[in-house]
Amino acid sequence: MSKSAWRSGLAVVCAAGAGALLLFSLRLPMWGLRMEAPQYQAEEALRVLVYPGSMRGDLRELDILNQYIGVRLPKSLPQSRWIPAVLLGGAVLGIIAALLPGRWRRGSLLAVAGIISALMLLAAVQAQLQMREIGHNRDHHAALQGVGDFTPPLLGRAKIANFEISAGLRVGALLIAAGVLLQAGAGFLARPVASRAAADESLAAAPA
Amino acid sequence: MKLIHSISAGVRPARLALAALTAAPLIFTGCYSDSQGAREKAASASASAAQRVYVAPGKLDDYYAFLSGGQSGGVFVYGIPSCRLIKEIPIFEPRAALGYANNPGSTTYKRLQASGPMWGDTHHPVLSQTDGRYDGKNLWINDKANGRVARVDLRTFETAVIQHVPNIQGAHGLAAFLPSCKYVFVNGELEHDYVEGTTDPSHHRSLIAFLDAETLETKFQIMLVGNADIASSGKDGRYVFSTMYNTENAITSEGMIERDRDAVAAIDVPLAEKALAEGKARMINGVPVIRAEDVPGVLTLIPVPKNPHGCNVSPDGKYVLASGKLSPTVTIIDAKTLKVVAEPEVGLGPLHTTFDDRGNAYTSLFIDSQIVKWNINKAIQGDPSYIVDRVDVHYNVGHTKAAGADTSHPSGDWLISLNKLSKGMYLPVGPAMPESQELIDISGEKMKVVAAFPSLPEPHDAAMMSREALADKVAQTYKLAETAVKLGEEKIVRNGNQVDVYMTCIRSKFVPEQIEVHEGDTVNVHLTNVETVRDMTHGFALVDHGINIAVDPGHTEVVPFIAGKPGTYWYYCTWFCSALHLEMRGRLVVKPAGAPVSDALAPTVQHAQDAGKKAAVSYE
Repeated sequence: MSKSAWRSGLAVVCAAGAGALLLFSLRLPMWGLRMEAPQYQAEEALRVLVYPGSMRGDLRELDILNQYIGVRLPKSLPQSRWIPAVLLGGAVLGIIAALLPGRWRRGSLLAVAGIISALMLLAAVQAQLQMREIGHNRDHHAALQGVGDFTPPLLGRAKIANFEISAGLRVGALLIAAGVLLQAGAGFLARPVASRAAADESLAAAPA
Repeated sequence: MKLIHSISAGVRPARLALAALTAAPLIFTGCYSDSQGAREKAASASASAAQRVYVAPGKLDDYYAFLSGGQSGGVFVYGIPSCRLIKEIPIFEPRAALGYANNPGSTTYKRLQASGPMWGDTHHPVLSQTDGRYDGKNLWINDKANGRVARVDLRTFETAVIQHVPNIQGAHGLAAFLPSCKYVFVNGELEHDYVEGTTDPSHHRSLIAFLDAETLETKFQIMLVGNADIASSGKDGRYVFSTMYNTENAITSEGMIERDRDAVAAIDVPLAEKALAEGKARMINGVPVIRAEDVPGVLTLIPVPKNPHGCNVSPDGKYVLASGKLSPTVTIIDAKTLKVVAEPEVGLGPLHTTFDDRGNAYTSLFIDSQIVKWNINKAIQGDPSYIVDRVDVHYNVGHTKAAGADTSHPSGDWLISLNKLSKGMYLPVGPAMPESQELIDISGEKMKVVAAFPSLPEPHDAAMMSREALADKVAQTYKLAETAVKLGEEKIVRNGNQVDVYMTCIRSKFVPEQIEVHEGDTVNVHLTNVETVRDMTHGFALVDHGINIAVDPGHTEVVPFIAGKPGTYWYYCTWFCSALHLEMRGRLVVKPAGAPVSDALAPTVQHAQDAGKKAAVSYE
C-alpha cells in the first residue's frame, strides 16, 4: 500500500472516530453547575447539567429558591434546539467529507470542523449572555432584598447570596472538542493527491 | 466548700448523698486528707467519660436506643453514646405537634379510636430479627393498659398497625418468637373472667396471645392460671418463656405473695400449633384458645422463688434467666431440658438481666440501686467468684438493656440503666421530676457510668440497635401515593354540605390560598406536600378550629373539620420551612348558609389589589 493510500485510510478512520465521539456526546452533559450552601452540601448540593438537547438537574428546587430572588430560570435553552443537529450533522458530514475525492477532502473536513467549532462557540457566547440575563433581568418584586444583580459564572467559581457556585465543562464538551480535533486531524492527513491514479488508489483503499 | 469542690470535680453526687446519710464525717475526713490527688483523678475520669459520649455536631451516633414511652404512649428514640433525643414516635396517644391522632376524623385518629382509648402505656419495645440479628424492619410494643400491641415500620419510624388483642386485660410482657419472628406474643397479665355470668375469682385465668407479626391479628391464645409477666423467646423455634407470679390465683396483694414458689412458664409453640390444627382449641370471641390443661406438654411450669420478674434468654439460647425481684437470686434454667441449673445470689431486688458478648450477665438491682455484672458459666459451676463488678445507678433501676442483647450477637459495649427515680440528678423543675437513664460503658472488666440523661415519663424498657442495621433503609421523603394531590390539579369539590379541598403545599404557598365554605359544612382538606427535598415538612393549622397536621415531603394527609361561625379564619404552616414561612397561609372564608361561595383557588387580582389600595399602610 502506498503512503498516500495509507494516509487516506487513516483520515477516514479519524473522521469515523470523530463522528463516533460527536454522536456519543449527544448523550453526555456538556456543561455543569454546582451550587453549595450550608443546607445544600455534599450529595445535596444543587446541580444543573446541560446536555446537547436538554437541561437537567435540581431544576425544581432551583425554581423554588429562585422565587426568593426573582430569577426566572428558562425551562429549556434555545441552544438545545440546534446543538443536537450540529453534532449529528457534523458527525455525518465529517465522514462524508473523508470519503470525497482527494482534492475536496482536506477542505471539506476542515470546513466541517470549523463550522462545528464556530457554532459551539456561538452557543457559549449565547450562554454567557443568558447568564447575565438570569442575574440582571429579575422580578424586582421578589421577596429577598439585598441580593444585587449578578452573573453566574460560565466557567469558574462565584459566590451568589448564600451559594458557592462552580461551573465548568463536562465530559460531553471534551468529547466534542476531541471530535472536532480529530476531524481537523483527518483533514491534515488527507493531503491533496498529485495524480489521478493515486486518488483512485486511495479511494479503493477506503472502506465503502 | 470541700464538699462542693468534690462534686464539681466529678465524684458522683449520688454516692456522696447516700454516704452522707450514713457516714458524713468519714466523707469530710476523706476529702480533706487527699483532696488534691482525688480531685485530679476524678477530673481525668470525667474527661475520659466525656470523651466516650461526645459526638461532635453533625456526626452520627453508633446506636439507636428505642425507649418505651410508658404513660406517654409511644417510643422515644435516642442516639447512643451521645444520649441525644432524636425522635418521638407517638403510638397510643395523640400528639398534636406531629399531627398524630389529634384531629378527630383523621386516619390516625380513627385507627387509634377504633382500637381502644386515646391513651396507652407502652412498656417493651421489641425489634425484629433475621438470623439472630436485628434486621431493622419492625418494632413492636405493647399497651399494658388497654390490651393492645402496635407495630412501627422502621423505614419511616411511623406506627403501621395498632391491634387490640381480644380476651386479655393488661398486655404486658412482649417478645418475638425466635428465630423466625413469625409471631409476636404478649402476656395478658391480669387475670379475667372466662365463665360467662360469673365474677367468681376461682374462674380467673390469664392468657398468652400469639399474634401474626405483620398484621398483629391474634392467631391463638394459651389460657393458664397465674399472671404471666415478662416474656422472652428461646432461640430455636420451640419454647417461649414467661415469668409467672400469683400462681396462688389470689386477688389481694398479700395473697399474691403467700407461697414461696411461683414459676417460669415454658410454652411449646410447635405443640400448640399442632393442637390448634387438631381442633383442640375452643373459640372465645373469635380467637382459638388452648386451655393448658387440655394439651399436656404445651405448658411447663418451672418452679422459681416467688413473684419473679425479669425473664431473659441468654444470647446463645442455652439458658433462661428469671430475676428474683423479692428473692436476691437469679434462677438459671436450661432452655432445652427446662431444669433449674443454678440460682446464684446477685443482690437485693433483681429485676431484669441483660448480656454482653463474653458470657456475662448484667442484672438490675432495684433495691440496691445497682447494676451487677456476673459470669453465667462461673455461677453454674459454683465458682464463688462469679460476681465480676457492681456499679451504683441513680436510683432504683428497673429494666436494663445492653446493645444487641436480645439477639444472638450482643455488642458488649453499651448498657442503659432505666432508673425509676432521679431525685435531684437534674436542675430542680418542681415536684414532678424527670425520669432518668444512665449509660454504662461495659466494654471493659469494670463497668463505668459515663452519662445520665433525662426523659419524659416514663421509659420502662429499651432496645439498642446498631445504626448499621438501618443503613440506607430509612426513608428520607415519601413517594407520592396514588391519592396524592398533584401540583396544578388542586380543586374544591362540593357535595351538599361536604366540601373536599384538594390542596398542595410547597415553599412557600398553599394552593388553594382561599377556601370559601358555608357555616357548618364538613370540610375535608386533602393536603399533599409536593416537596421532594428532605426535611421540608409543612404543617397546616387552622385557627380557632383546633386543627393541626404535619405533612412530610411527598406525604398526603386528610383532615376533616366542621366550618365554624361565619368569618375569616387563616390557615398557616406550623413547621418553619423557609424565609416566607410566615407568609405561607391562606383564608378559610366561612359564609352564612345560602350565601354564594366561590370555587376559586386564589382571590382575584382585582380583589387582592383593592384590599391593598383601601387599607395598606402608607410610608410616604
